[in-house]
Amino acid sequence: MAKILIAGSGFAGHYGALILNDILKNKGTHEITVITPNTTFNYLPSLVWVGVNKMKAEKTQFNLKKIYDKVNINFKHAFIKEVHPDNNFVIIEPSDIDSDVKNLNNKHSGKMLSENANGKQHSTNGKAYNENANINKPNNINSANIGEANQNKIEYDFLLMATGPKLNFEATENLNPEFGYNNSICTPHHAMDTAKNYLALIERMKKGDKAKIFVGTGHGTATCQGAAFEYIANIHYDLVERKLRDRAEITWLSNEPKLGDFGMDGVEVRKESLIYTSEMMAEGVFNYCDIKYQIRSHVHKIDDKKIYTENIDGEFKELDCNFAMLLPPFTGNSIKWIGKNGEDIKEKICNPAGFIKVDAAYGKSYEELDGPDWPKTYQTQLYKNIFAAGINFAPPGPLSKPNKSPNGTTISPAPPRTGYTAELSGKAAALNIADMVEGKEPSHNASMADTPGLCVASMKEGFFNGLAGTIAVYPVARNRKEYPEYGRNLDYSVAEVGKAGGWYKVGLHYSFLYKLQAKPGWKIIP
Amino acid sequence: MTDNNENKIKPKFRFTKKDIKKQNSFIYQIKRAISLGFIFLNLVKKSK
Repeated sequence: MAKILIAGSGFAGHYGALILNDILKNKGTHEITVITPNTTFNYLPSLVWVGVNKMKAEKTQFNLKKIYDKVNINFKHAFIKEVHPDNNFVIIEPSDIDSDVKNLNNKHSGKMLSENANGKQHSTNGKAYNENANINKPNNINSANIGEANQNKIEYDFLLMATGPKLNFEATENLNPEFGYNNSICTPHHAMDTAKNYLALIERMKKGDKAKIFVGTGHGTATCQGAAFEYIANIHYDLVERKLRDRAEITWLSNEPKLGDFGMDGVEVRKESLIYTSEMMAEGVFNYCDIKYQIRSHVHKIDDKKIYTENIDGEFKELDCNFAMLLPPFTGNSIKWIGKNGEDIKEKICNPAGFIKVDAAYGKSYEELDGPDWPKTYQTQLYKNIFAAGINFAPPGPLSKPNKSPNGTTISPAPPRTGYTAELSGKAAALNIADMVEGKEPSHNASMADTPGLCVASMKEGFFNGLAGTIAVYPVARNRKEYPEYGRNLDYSVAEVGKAGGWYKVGLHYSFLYKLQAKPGWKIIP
Repeated sequence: MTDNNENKIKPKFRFTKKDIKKQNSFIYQIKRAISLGFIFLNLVKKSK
């Protein structure tokens, strides 16, 4: 019997657990346990609609325990505090987080919105909610008191780390939405607060106020530009619908080296004899929607009146702002890795950002890095029974060209590893664990240089009136060994705007939520 | 508000009226949805 622990319940962890359970259910008695501080699965791609008040947050989540009870997976509502890879156990601490937004009144009791001197809405909830709270909670269990915490010790034969990232708002001064100057759509609760603040802005605009709105990335190394692109387009079309667009100046503020880069070095599409790029698509959208843009920029600070930026030329700018939704960078979480003598071995396991090193070729420059250097099996090299997937694995380098300002500020988007890419890596890691349970070597490959990237970026919500930017690319990481000209197979590339993408976006929302609830026929949904 | 010289001098890409018409045309978009469906299916096959 194999004991398999899966840390995390996002795209990689939750889908990996379902896949593994399905494969192993008829192959002996194996025990699969998912450890997560959350009570719900959160479908983050739809939070863009929650953030403009077009969808209720509860439509983006479902209860995990019910699903795990149905398919006989153990569910531990807890944080992982320590991993002891030499002795094959983890130390957990029970979680008190209820991520179900239906119970929001209990969790956010006393929460209210108030206006600061600038007339800007900000949240004053006393208790910060964070789905990634395992990294923000004090680590009060250590090797010295393991005895006391024996009930919190869980042994494993195989471990899949898929806890997702820490939302590192602290990297930029005042970026955390709790301070009231920035908004976020990174978690259901953030998106709900953002919707409230957005609606308050709308009320002020209805009274005649003009607004300067900034959407994009809040740090030089942030990623997930696609989500920010969705949000800015949804804001534009929502203001058009409300006949308030002329009262808003909307600006895209991003760390991308070029428009339409999306942290993956953009997309080229062959159209007859011409090459059309995602840069053209983004530029076309921004010009059509009258959205201004400032790219190649790092954000140093945000306050109640301004955003303080530095661009790649080293120029500092202060931008007047009334409403901002700037995404934070991600880092690894603060789980301790303890060696057999009680020593801290995190440096051996993780890269400096805290992501777990797997079977990639690390240490190469951007110019040297190519497709074969990206991880394939997601197995850690020091401990063959540990895998890391989703955002948890350390990429061997950026996909977009890294840059530094003359002042030494890094302005280099991190590679996106969310959504479909996370799901594919979680699935591959799960299948490889199944291989090892059966005594075989890991054989499943989901390298980002060998798998596609699909991004349907909603611009306007709705089935009949909806609009979306559709981006498809194969592979995600350029593989010049395989495709010398562009590093990608342009036969599969898409970068276009239209209603068709809007339909797919709605379809993806419902099909993913259906599949991930393990409903009848879930396995045939890709 | 672009902050790099390259973008200041190059002509900005704009959607033509024909592009916008296509983006909002139900018939054209149904055809695109079918084409995209085939592309997505091929990509999904490649990720297996």
